[in-house]
Amino acid sequence: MKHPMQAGLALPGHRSISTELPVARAPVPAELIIPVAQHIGTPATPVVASGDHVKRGQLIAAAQGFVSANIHAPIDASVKAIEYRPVPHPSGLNGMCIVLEPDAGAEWPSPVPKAMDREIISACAPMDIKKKIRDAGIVGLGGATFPTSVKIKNGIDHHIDTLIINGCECEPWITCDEMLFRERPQHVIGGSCLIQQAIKADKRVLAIEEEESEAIDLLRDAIVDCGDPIHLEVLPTRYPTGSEKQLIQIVTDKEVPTHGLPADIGVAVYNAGTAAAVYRAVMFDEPLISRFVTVSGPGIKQPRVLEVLLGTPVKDLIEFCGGKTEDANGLIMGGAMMGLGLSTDEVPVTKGMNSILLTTPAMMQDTQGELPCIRCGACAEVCPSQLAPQQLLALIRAEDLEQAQRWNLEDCIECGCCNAVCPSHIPLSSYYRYAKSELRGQGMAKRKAQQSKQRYEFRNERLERAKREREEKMRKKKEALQAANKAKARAAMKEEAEAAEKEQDA
Amino acid sequence: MIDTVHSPLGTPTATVATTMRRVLLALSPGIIIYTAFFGWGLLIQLMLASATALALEAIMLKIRKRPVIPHLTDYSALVTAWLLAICLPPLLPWWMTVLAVGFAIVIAKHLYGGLGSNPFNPAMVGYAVLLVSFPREMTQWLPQENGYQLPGFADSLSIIFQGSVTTHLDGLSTATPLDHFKHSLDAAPELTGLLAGKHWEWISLAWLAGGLWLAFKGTLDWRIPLSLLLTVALFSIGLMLGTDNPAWQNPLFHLLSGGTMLAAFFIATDPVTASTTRLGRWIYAAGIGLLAMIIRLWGGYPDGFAFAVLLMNLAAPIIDYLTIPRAYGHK
Repeated sequence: MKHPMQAGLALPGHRSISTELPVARAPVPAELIIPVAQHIGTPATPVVASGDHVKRGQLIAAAQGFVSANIHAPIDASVKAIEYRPVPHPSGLNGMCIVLEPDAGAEWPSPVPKAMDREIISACAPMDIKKKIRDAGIVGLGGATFPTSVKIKNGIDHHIDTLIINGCECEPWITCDEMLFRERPQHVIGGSCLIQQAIKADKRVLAIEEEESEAIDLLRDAIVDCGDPIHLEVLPTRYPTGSEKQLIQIVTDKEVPTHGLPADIGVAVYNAGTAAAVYRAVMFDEPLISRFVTVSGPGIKQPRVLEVLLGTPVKDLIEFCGGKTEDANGLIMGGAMMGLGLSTDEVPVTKGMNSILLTTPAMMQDTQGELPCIRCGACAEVCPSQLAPQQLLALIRAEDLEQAQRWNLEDCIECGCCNAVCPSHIPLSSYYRYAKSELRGQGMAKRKAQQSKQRYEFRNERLERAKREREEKMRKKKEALQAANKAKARAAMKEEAEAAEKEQDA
Repeated sequence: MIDTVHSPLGTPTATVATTMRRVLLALSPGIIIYTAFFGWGLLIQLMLASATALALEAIMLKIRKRPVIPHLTDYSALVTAWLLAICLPPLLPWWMTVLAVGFAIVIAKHLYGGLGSNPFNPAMVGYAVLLVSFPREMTQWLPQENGYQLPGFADSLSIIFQGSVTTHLDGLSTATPLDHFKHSLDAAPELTGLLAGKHWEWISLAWLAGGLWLAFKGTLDWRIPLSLLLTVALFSIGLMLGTDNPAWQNPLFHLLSGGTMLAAFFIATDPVTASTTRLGRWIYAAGIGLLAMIIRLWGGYPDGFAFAVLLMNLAAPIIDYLTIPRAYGHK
């Protein structure tokens, strides 16, 4: 740890309630709903049709372009429909989904082997690893869902000094990575070896929070078994340590430039779950078709971590965990600080869904008692991006987004620490979320306007050029014609003169 | 369908009311010591100012169509009233106190948009209005000589409300210790036998104790008092090398006399009117210390913190603008 985090918050973790039971496999549902957009980038295009039969692991939607990801059938099934269904997305709109009906009696395959063969890993070529990751449709499983193959490509193109495997689940309630460490530490370590081999980092660090205490010894053993020099960095539990930028600063004392990528400063960060998925993709040719999901919160009867086939409806998980308590009032995908409120439990589990949180009224933010901002600056003290949230609030309320940009609005990571300490109980991060999307909208409109302008100017220039060329041509033609006429005239004169000469001679 | 909930969940434990209550609590030791030394006057002024402030706050909230109870119970009007009352001479006529509180709450606070929107510190606006309008009354303080009989409760009441005294008292007022020093060629220690004017250093130390507690609790930003006190100390140390008037030579005198401690911990720290960035707060508070010293030493008033605070309030927006913090990833 080179730069302990001063800002942020020490939050109660609520970890133990969902880590008492071992990970269970959620039953195969009656229907799997698989959105074609579960990653950052272009949605995948379905390559199956309604009525087709698909095998477990078969490609059902293909990546489109560079920043995109393949999607596969999680189990033997028939394609029931390709239609719009509710999906977990901030817009709340329905999204295109491939709906699968699992075959009767289709079950989870037998558990994957746990042991790790270092020699087989060493034999994998970087390009093969990258291709397998691309084929397997792996994306960042910490919630960001950025296609992993793109990140690997970036890592190959840049010199990477430090590869960080991110095992810090700093958001309260989320425990799926901790359970992954406890049940399959070899997969995480093996995956880190493969990523290391692909991007050739100088150093490798596995970062974990001290609250995940039971996982620490198991990981240490797995590292010893593996034999690679992997530094296990046990960090104090403090939110938002698991945020990529903050973790990089804590581990390396470097800051990711504001519009840059970690690769620009020689760092690559992969989520622990992503590393495990890479391991399974490369070693067992298993595409990304399942993941660990924490089902927790005071609104669920039996909180626990489940291994879930992607596409399983959230309501099935709630039912499997004993159902909701009577006072359960809401549903959040992700954590209590940054998660996305869902309006229905009909949505499926997607690649980026690390947690389902059932809330109760006691957890709600009291919006009744909101008072004016008194500029106390408590928010600035906890802001991990070192912003001045109180100024941003005033500027956004005054609709002065240009000035808000000067105060670095776009560096806000929306972690919500400011909300949690505001004595006036102002929902600050909602303002920043709104203003950032507004700026993005403006940026898009601006880009569009610029594009149209460019197109218009280009067209004008093209027409101008065509006109010029036409004129040039005409001129040349005219000249040629004139020259020809002159020559003719000269020839005629000459003939006449010759004729006259002949006459004289005669 | 279910209700959509929004992250982050949970209600912060901190409230504006807690902050304000802490400020009132932190003022209490100083108020008790003040009363012990100078009698009932301050307590009567506190009651008067509090009642006026709460009544005017309620009326203004009603007129501005704001929820009355949530705002009235945020204690911000009381903080303004107390700070103002503490600055006033303890036996000031009641209507002057009411006038000052009225200016603070109605004009300086609510006409500028209420809690959080006022550019100037309301208590200091009220104080400054009185100081420029009634300079004589505003510089009359109770004598500090030994053997002086303090007016009792009934006497204090009748002086404040009727301007008359029922029992015989020897001289009721005197100039502030700072004024004494300023217009006297005597050396300070010989005048009172004590450091910063009799009793005043103890009151200052009580403000300091309350202020340190607030800083420890994180209720105020420690950068402001530290920067202000450092500026005052460094300025007076610099002065030591430049003058031969012994009254000005002791930095402790400047730190413990007049409004230095009160301003450093309770007035300059008002977050609404102070600069809001970390670096900005250093600059803002240093500016107050510097201006106050200049006014104290060369200005027409015995002490300069009220004007220094108001002047720096004026400068706070530009200080903020020039001290935008370096965000993560901007090198």
